[in-house]
Amino acid sequence: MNELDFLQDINDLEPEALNVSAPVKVKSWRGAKRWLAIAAAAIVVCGCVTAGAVALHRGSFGPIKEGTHGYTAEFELEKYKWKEFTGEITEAPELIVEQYATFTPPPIYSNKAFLPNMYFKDFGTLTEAVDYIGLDTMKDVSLPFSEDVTVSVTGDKKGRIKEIDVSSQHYLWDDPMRFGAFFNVKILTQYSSSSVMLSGGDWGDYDPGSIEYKEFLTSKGVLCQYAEIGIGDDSRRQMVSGYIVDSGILYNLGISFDDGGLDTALGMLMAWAEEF
Amino acid sequence: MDDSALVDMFLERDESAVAFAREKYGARLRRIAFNVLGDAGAAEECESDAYLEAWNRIPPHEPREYLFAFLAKIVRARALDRVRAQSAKKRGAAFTELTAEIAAMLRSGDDPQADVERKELSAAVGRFVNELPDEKRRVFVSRYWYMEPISDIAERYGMRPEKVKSMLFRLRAALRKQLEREELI
Repeated sequence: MNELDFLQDINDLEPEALNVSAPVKVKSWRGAKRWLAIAAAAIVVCGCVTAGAVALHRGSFGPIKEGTHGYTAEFELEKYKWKEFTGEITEAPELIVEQYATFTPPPIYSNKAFLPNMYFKDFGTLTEAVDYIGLDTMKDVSLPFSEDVTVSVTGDKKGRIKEIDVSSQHYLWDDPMRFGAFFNVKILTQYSSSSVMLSGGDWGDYDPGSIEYKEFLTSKGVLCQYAEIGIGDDSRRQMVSGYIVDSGILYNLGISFDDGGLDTALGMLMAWAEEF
Repeated sequence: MDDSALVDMFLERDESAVAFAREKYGARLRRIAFNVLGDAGAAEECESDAYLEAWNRIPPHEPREYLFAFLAKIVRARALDRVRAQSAKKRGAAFTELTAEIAAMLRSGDDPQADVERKELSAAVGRFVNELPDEKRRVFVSRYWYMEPISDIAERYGMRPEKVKSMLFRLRAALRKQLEREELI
């Protein structure tokens, strides 16, 4: 038996196991054409600016470990006091405590948390997600897509909220470059164990030398650090993943694409960074 | 539209059933095939094959409670058929990494009892998966059934990629132990 035999032989797992582990719904990338146009302009606006003299909110990048894949990006973030969150998210402590008390595995495709220390809420736009969180310093930046944002809230048994994540994932398969976009915001609270946020990715069988760590300044002087990643010789897939720390909140936009899409992806990243 | 109504449309030979199924599950099905093939065009072809096969298999099947799993099994099998026909060099890097994890767990070599044992192995893996705690089962199935990248699994379950890798390493070791105990590898 080889590995392909194995993968085919396990095809008949119970439907329940498959349903609860199914991939999340993949959304279409609306408004992408507009962003492709903005991307081209953004290269002109800030593509030639370097960020050598700016020290604020600088993170550090590096490989995970020798012999492993991917990279880490480490950032010092603000630990916000819980009373600073004024949106409907103030329901979170009660919800988490209740989840611990009543937790049972969720039904298929439920938006309920699959672990008692987390719950998720889906929103049509980033604006709605920002309103839900209600943190004054959080930016409602424009995204290269216009809908379907998930807020995940993590706490402990006592209902102390430790971390809030906002994320969205979109693909544009009908474009020749097959762009994919992965957006994430991380907010820490006074109950987080550390103020250092580790991020990064595991991009499979890549050439470690193919990751480059770079940065640029926007026209308003905002520092965006990013990694350029080649995801293996065979796949022809690449990615740029940009990080901005604003008011102690980490914003990350990753854009994956096929060979040849680097300039456009960088333009998208720069256009997004200009929103800060 | 709920799955039961969709299955009714298949049973009534209403061709719009395919359009509704595509709208409801198409993106997820394409993603499964893409995880295997690393090619959007080929993934779409596998998705279309799955609807045709579902059309031919409903009836006699009536997967009212598990339509997505029913379609996903078909699309995954078709994608694996295609990847089997490819030379190893043409396989995507992500899929090659995943199969390397499995190859390390299995013993190589031809076995005259292989066909019999493969059915037993399939059942043994099913038992192993069903007995796992909820979180581990989801991670195992996400990686080895849906063949999702580790980074996606980590993001989805709120873990660091290293934790997912470590959990998978232990799960592979446990599965290997069980398969060895049952003399299947």
